[in-house]
Amino acid sequence: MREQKTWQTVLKRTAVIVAAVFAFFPIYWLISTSFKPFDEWANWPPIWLTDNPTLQNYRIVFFPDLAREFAAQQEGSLDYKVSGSAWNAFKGSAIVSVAATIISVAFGTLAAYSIVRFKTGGKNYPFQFLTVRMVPPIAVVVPMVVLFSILKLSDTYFGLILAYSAFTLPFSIWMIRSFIDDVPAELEGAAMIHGMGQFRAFLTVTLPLVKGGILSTALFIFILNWSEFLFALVLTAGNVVTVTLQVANYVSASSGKLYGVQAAMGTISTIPVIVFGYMIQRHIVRGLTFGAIKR
Amino acid sequence: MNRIPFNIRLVLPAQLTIMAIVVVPTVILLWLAHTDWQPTQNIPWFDAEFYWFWNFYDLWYDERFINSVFRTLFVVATCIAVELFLALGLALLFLDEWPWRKVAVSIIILPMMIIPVDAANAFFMLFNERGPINHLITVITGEVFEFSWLSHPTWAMVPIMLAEIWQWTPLMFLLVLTGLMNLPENQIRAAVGLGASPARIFFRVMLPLLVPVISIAVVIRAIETFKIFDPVYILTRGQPGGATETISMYMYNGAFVYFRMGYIAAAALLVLFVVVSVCLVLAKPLRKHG
Amino acid sequence: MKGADTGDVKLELRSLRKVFDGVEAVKESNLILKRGEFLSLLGPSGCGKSTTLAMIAGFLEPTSGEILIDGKPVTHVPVQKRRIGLVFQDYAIFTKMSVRKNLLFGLEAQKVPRAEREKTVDEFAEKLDLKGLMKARGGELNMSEMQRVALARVLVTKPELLLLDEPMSNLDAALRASLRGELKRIQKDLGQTVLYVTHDQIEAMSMSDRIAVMNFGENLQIASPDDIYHRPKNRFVAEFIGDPPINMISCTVTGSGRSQRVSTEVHKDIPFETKVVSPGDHVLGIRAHHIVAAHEAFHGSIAAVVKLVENFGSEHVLHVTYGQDLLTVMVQPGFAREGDEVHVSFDLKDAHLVDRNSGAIYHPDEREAAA
Repeated sequence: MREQKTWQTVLKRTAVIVAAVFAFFPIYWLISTSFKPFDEWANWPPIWLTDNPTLQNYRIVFFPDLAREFAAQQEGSLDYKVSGSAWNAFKGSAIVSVAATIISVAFGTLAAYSIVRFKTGGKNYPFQFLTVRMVPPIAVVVPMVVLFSILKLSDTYFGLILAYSAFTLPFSIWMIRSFIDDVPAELEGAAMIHGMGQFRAFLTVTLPLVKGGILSTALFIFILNWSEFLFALVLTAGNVVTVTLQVANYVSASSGKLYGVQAAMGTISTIPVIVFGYMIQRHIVRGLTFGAIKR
Repeated sequence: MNRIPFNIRLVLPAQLTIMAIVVVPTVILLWLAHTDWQPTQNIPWFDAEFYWFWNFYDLWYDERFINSVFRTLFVVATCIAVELFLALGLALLFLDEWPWRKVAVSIIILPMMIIPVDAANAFFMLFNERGPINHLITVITGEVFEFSWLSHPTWAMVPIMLAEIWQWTPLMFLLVLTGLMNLPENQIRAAVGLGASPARIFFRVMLPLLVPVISIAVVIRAIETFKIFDPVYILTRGQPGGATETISMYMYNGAFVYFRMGYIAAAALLVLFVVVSVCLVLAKPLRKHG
Repeated sequence: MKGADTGDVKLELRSLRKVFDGVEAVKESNLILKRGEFLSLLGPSGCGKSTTLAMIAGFLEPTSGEILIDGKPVTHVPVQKRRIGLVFQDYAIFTKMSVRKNLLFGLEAQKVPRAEREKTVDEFAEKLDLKGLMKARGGELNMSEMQRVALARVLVTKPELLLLDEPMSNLDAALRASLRGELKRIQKDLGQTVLYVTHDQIEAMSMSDRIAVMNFGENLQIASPDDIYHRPKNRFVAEFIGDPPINMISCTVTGSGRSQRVSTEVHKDIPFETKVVSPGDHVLGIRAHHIVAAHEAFHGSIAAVVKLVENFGSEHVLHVTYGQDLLTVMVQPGFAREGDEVHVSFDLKDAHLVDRNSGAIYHPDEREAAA
């Protein structure tokens, strides 16, 4: 009996290790490629771990001019055409993601509060927000291009912020709603007995209790915004650049995709997502299920 | 403004934002879908020729569109089935407490923390002709294998779906694990006490109890997978010859590569209509929980 | 222990111990459960009774010691093979199955032929009055139905031993009273060996053949309900059993052995022989119904003021001052009101002398047996 149990345990742990290897391997490849010199990117046989680690890819990402100088000294070095430094993309992503997150969470909190405490719009009202999330964005993108050109929002930060805010609002509303739902209304009632207005009671009693939840929601929304690709691709034209666009932009006419540079940009740009992701690991399930499944 | 009740005023900002970005474009979409607007012809959108329902007629006979629909449904079904299967198997490994359990969970959910575009790029490199996957196959079979996955009309779907599965199995795993950890422990103990084998306990007791969680997970993943775009764009852009186009990719190519805006607007309207109706039905499990 | 007839012993615990993170949840527990016996593990929450149960069922591995069923060690046998029936506090009905499926579950798992399992299930459905419920889903049952289904579900498998973990704590009082009788009747009918875990002394007293009182992981006394009530072995047992709780009166012991004497407010230097209690301040335990109260002073009585009257219906319980202590006295209804002065005394024969330091109680007959 004992032996069979240890046997099973060994088998189970082995399966976990295999799963962990599968989970990590593509990320390993991304990181390891980001340190490969350009002639090793598509070598055959592929190089699993380079013997000549270089920072050239990261140099291209952050200091394109420096990288060009460096390349000039090297024989047979890379020809690449991307002029813009990634700083611009980081700046763009930061502005758009932060602003859209603030708008989404602020509007979402107000709406969630109204839905929870006033049952605004009845039982089915919150579901119309969900349909926004169910529609493939591409279906809305075509008329949005038209609308944005009328409103002169194409290729502006504000346009992208607006789009991101609207498409993350369902998450904000539903997630924050589930957090507010966890706070008994009686607490606000107690404050109101002492003469506080209803909204002030919400601000002074409930809001402090759900601020952790709201912060998690904000980080979650930030991750969504930071990772977004389709809207950025369609609604911008070079003036506004985001990190995901920058990654896709590292393509050269002569050598096709610049694997190493893409990998370097990818590694760097995904770090905030990983950090925030693990910070809100406890709430990620709640977020992605619109608050339906709690931990 | 003061006549508007307080609670309505609270939902107004959110509601207006969504109206501006979703409802107004949908109205424009209604117009565009019945025109032959092509921006390359330099006719403003509102002056485009009214086309009645011909766009829809054409879509019906557009093999590329119909194929992209079925391809998308196939991707959704396959990915979700595989994700669910893997997630259930994985979650069962994490039922008991053991040292490093938390670390293992953290590593296994790492893929869902990666920007989808970056994940797709990683898979682009993995499935390159000269990538590590082909290298592995070469090493295992002993014959040089330099298959070009991403330019093969059928096999190119494999890396696309694998990227999707790799990235989102962790979410399914977390959902199922949460469900499993919240199962009424005594029902399982009672089944053990009655002499049931682990398989019987899993299929007869645990699985039926997991149905609500699984249905939520499946609905949410189905909705998201249906929209699949990033991996397709990065890995193949729908090539070769539209053989890997999903609905989103088809529409992107139609609207922003071939600039057939009116025609794609009709497709978008169709998709919008179908998706919203289907989702209203699918949302039932969510509704029950919420 | 060694002389016990193993054919008659269903379950035996030998020095069973469980340590959680350095805390001894169960201390060296020894217990013998005879075939057909109804034994209760009684104690407050956290006393280790549920831990003991989990070890017997096989959900917890003991730190040390042994569990024997029918004389065979089962300490390392997995739960599925122990042939133990379990009823949980929440009943753990399979909510997604019909009642019939619930009842069939164990028999199917044990690969009993179809005809036989249908017959057994029908038989027990009859016995436990579940005929009309067979098609209902587990999730739709009320508490008392759940309890009967949970019982039937384990009983159909004819378990060697039935373990019940606080099965009535979720029920309301009226239901509990009727179910106590029913459970006892079924147990007797089937001759089922039962180990019953509870914190409710009434359940333990009314159904058990024997009771094991536990506290702080220790088995304090295993005896019949009568002995537990009338001859508690230590202060905890005496205080845990009985409603109103036993009175504890301070007393002084002088001398030792045959010349040992006890003094209280009412008693002066009455011979009270125990071998063990050392001279000094100790405690006398005496139950409320053993205290005599009268309106007039009588021989050996002292005056006391009624502070509170508790109405028990058929009796009233007076809380009276008694020197420094507060005493409870059981009287006829209407005997006295709050603020009245009454005269109370008691016969030392009815009292238990509790060693203040060890909490041990020694009884005259034991002393004689020991002598």
